[in-house]
Amino acid sequence: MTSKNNHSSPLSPVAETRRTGAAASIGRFARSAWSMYYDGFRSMTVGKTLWAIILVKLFLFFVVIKLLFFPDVLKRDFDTDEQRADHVRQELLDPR
Amino acid sequence: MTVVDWSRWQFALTAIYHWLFVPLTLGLSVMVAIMESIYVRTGSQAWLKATKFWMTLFGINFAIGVATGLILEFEFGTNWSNYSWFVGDIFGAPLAIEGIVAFFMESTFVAVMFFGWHRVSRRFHLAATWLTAIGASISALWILVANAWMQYPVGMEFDPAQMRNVMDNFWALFSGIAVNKFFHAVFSGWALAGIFVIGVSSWFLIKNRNREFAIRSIKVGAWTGLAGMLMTMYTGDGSAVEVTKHQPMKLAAMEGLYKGSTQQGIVAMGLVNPAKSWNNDEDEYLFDIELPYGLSILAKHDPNAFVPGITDIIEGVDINANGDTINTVGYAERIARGKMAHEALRDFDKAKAVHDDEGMADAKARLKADYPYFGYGYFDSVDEAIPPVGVTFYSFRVMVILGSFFLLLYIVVLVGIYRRQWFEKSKWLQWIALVSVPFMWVCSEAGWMVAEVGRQPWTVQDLLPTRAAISAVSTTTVITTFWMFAGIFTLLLVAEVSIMIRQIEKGSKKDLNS
Repeated sequence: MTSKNNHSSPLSPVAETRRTGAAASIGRFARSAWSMYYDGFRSMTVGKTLWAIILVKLFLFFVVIKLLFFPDVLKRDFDTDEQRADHVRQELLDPR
Repeated sequence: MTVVDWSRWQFALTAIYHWLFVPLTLGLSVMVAIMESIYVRTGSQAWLKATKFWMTLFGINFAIGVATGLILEFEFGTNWSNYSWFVGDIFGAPLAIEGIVAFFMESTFVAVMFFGWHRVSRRFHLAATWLTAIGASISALWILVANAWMQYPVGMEFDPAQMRNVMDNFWALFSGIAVNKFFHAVFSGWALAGIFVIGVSSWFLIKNRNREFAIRSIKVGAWTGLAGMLMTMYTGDGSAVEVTKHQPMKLAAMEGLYKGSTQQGIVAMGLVNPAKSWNNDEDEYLFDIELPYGLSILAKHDPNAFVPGITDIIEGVDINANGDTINTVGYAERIARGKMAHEALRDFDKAKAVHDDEGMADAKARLKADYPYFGYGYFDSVDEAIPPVGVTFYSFRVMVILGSFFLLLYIVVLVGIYRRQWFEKSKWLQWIALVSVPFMWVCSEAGWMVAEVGRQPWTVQDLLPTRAAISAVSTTTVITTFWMFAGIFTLLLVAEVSIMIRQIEKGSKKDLNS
């Protein structure tokens, strides 16, 4: 085995240092962003009510309304685009 | 009412509610950014407090309004699936871009706006506030580009095999209609938010609370709102010219005009005659006050220009700039050619079924020739191609009259605010400003009614009428979801108004002056 094969990374030492530095920066940024959101949510006043409204609204929209009442009818009823096109052609040539 | 009527009412209901929130987001975000810019420039704590106060109201409106537009997309997939398929990627692409832009810009920069005060530098925070405002407008751009394409479909070719319109020129989507519509809608948001800021600030003055803050806010609201109102009027004028070129029937309905003329006046106020139709001799109006040359100037920027009325358009009569009477394609011919396009599509379908390539090519060529009139093939009578004249006529006047009133209000407020003693004593003006706030929304919604009712009977101008765009859904389902949406959106509106009022009341008791 040569000494070259003992290296776990194919990068040069300089490139390796840069990569580690970049990873550390990304990590710091991610921690900072996380704590901004975390502390922001914790210290909200009127925002808590608003977030409750947003969550209830999204639940109603995506779970109740979308799933129960608003299917994508062409996706639901046909498997291929050709079938969908044929269906729409029939619908448009023989509208209600 | 039929399933088409209920689906239209449902779409109108959700769109109207959605538009209650959007213009305030568009305008208030800009005003908050201006206030914060002054704070960053001067370091004044008073401006910082003003920024935070209005930012909170922006946040309430943003939170309650966010995702209300998604319901419209649900409706496209369920109630209007024929339409959704027919328009293909032309409509889908702008909406997809809007979704991505809105998600990334809003989730990133709104968070920095609200949570980042002590986390990022002042300048970075200011950049986030401006980017939130710009992001909201960019979101609106894609929606309005999609809407404008429905009014003036360009940049595509219809493929009968796929049964959809295939985009062949993305940049054609940015037509004159789209550009005017975008700026008209965004600047109307500034005008609306300006009246909101002036109205709320006037309440502070009436209650004798935080007077310095109120005066400061009114200055930003009035200058920005005035700029927005002037630009709304300018782009509205541009829109009228574009409508004249591409949707002359809509313009004629806006004016209740049946027989046009050169030097055509515009009705400032009036009552349309419900007994009037395109082929009888009844008077157009029961009463009217006309401004001479007005419609010729509005439509063609030429006081001597001919503006066709509904009957002229149906009969295919126009007069060009040289004063020569020319024939355009009348509606009877459009209907005939639309039916020929349908027949060609049927032939294409038959040829496709037996893999007859030559027959398909022949049918496709015939279809292409008559495709510009494809939608007229659904009509049996020209009466079906006329929009509801009364609603369009009155909505247009509500928009213009209220818009003119708000322009005057902006001017009076701006003149008054720099004669501060007079303004502070003028309770009547403060009350007018306060009471005007809901009427600004009436004005804004009326604008959309002109645009959307005036283009009936089309979902896609000349190509797909509303009744052909509908899916095979049951009336009962649509009625159920109509009332469900009416309930949910009314609750959201009540929540918005009550939380805002509580927050304004709470804010007014703090020291916002210094």
